[in-house]
Amino acid sequence: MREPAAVQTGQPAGTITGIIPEGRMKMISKRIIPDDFKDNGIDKSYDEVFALICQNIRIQIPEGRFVYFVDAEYVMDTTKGYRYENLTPACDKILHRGLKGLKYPEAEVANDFCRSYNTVLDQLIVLADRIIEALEPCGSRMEQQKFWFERLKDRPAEGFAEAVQRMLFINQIFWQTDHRLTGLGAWDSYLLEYYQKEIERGSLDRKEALEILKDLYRTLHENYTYKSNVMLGDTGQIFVLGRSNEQGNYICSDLTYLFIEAMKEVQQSEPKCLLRVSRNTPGDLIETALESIATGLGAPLLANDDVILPELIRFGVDKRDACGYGTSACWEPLIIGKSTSLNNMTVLNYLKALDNLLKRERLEEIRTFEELVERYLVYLRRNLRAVKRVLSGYRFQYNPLLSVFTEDCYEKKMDVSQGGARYHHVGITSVAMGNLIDALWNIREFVFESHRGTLYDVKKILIENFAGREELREELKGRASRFGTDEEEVLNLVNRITACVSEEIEDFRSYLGGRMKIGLSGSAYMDAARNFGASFDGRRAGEPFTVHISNEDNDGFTEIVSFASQLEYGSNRFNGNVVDFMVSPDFIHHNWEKYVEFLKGCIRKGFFEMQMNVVGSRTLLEARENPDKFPNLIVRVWGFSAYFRDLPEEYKDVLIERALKNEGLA
Amino acid sequence: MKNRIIITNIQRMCFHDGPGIRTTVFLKGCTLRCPWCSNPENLSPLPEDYEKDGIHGVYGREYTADELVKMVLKDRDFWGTEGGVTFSGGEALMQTEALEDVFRELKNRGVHLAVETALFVPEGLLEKAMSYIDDFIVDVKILESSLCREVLGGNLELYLRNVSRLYESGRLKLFRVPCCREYTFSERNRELLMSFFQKYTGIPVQIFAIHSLGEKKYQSLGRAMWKVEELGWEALETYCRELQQAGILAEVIRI
Ligand code: SF4
Repeated sequence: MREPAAVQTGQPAGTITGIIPEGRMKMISKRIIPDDFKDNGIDKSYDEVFALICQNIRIQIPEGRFVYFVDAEYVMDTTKGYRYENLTPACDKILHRGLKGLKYPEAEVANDFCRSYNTVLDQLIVLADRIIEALEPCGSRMEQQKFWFERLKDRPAEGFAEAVQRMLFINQIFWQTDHRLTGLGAWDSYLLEYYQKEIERGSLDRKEALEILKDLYRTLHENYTYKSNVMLGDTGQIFVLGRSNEQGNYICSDLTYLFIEAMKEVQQSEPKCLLRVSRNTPGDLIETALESIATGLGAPLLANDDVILPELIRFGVDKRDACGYGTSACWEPLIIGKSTSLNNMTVLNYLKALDNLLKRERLEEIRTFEELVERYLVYLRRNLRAVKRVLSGYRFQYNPLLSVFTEDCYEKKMDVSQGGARYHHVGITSVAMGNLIDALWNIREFVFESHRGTLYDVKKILIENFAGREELREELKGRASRFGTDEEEVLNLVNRITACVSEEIEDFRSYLGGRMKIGLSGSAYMDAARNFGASFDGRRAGEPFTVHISNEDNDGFTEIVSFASQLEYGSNRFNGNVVDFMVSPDFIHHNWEKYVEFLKGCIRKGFFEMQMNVVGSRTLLEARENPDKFPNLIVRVWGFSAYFRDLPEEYKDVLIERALKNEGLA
Repeated sequence: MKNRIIITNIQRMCFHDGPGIRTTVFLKGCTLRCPWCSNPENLSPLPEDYEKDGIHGVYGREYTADELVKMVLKDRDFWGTEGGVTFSGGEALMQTEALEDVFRELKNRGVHLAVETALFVPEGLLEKAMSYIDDFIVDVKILESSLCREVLGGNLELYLRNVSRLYESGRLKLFRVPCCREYTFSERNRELLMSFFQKYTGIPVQIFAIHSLGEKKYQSLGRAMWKVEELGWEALETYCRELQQAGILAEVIRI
């Protein structure tokens, strides 16, 4: 048993070969697939493999409070077919009933799925028993944990720490079965009744609760390398805190504050949290969030219920369900525990269609800027049709574990891969909208206004990667970016382009009937750019695209927020739209009260989502030179936090350049 | 050209030009010529060509009142209950006539208005502005009549009358002193400042060191900047303490 077999790499996260370049497709950890999972070279069934995992994974007894481990050498093989990832299971389901209580009664086992479903729960009981046995020799030190695992089998959770342990147990199984980027969910809500009960009883106080949560953060931070997806730190572990209810009231509790405080005190790159906010969010909660953000953590990230909820509801999500949204690993709204929507299925590169146009079109026939935009949209639609074709062909892997922790599968007696979940839409992200807008603006000036050249000249300059035209490139690059300015013309153009995308993807249906969504955030601004030619915003071939909705040329953050607030997110355009800006810690600290007011203003104005990278350029420059001096410097990349020292050099460069620009030094 | 307003910049999200979060409008044209001025583009009341890093441009753009109102209102959601619009320059009050419609429109919408001014302006302009502006932030510079005329080109008596008028109205909210060793921070002037502030107790005072950040802008206009020898933080702190000991609400700020 357990002899390592051939080394394999995992399936890339949410990408389609050919649409985004191979550069992104390196996995951090090589995966070893145990021989046990095959029978004479043929893969064993899901049920068999799941049973093997529960029976054989190496159990590690912790030093600290919580039992939590991932046996990285005995992980389910999900490399064949399309796997589920980037989801947030309903781990709170395990709180009110024990494992046995989740099973189908014998009489209701109607199909193979029900059998698999019960097998999963039976095997989890086997694993719980193994853990109890392993805790035996620890004696009184692990007495309480033993008791928790006993109860886990068939009783509801009672205490606060016990509830945390239960959900950790479910979480670890998801990692063990190779669900990458597993989100955590709304733990401040899930745990509230246990917290209140214990506080009332006097068996827990706020201080002790904070210690428990700090242990929780530390526990989830373990296996950091194993959990990282494409880059170190990219684990998708996110707590979603605070929320609005159906009446529009804002719901938070002492636990919401405690989760943020614990994260701030632990000061690790992840797990991180996202705070849902609205106009009704209490000011002191916003301050608590800012205190954490300003330490340099950059987290919590902020998501604006006032903007997101109406869009989800308009899209057809039930109001009550919409109120329970979280996000896929980074930004894409997702109904926690009820949705198996894969929101990062591929990346749309907005520059691609312009590139296609320049290479394929009879350019002399394009006489005005308006005609250029129209032709651009034709190519954009073509690219989207290709995306739709590819994505409609996907079939997902059978996944009874996920089905146990996804609402509706039980009632429907249907696996998630057969449409068991309530929602199963698909989402795509995008990159380079900023580059596209600036490129179009420059072309307008160069070709149609000052007649300094033709579209053929533009094409030639780009193919030659600005060879011999460095002065022009600098001029183009040196112009203040238009994307992210709240000028009517810019806003209209961006909204026109996204409206075209929205219309084109409207008729998409996945094999389960899921619809398609798109957003203006994307993690591939580096990878998708690596093999992409020069663009007329002054970007050389291979240089990174702009990041999310950002603009370092703005002279106040209000402008980018104002811009983002006027973008249209309707129909299907709500798949993550994050305003991203760099701000120096001094700026926040010197202007604390006004900065809090600014954040409140941002919510009122109506951003969709927002993240701040709180770090000064000087610190970044020093940390690049002397990484050892800054081992714990945390920065935000895409939607996750990472240690600066862990980043590839080119990511460091992008952050430094943005910080310099932001501080007016570049 | 009535109602044409000449502006060099509209800066959003300002934290230092009045209460709350503000949008600051920089108006072109000034009645003084401070040697240390770091806004050379705001001196002449007319648009001016410049060249920076090989790129040509014009300092100053004309706005109609409507355009300007529309521009500044973009950030109204950020102002909250405290913030609003601040008019600065140059000498903002020089364009009071042209700005009147803007003042009125913004006031009608309940926007908090502030002006940052050197206050060397005819009384009539100040009087007009006072019917709209909530807060005045007033520069204090050279307080010796002949030196003021000689160095800044300003009529100190006019200034003092204006200060007194504003003080009586209750709208004078803050004094600001740009400190440079040669003039405003000379021993004599520091004494004059002290007795000046004592006359207006209750009005906070911010002092800051003159810097050379405007150098690039001078270059872009083909002019040379006066050589600034920046005062150390400590010298300012010491003076600030002296002011505080005299009961003046002084603080040192970084600009
Ligand atoms: S008053 Fe201000 S703008 Fe006018 S010259 Fe003096 S420093 Fe420059």
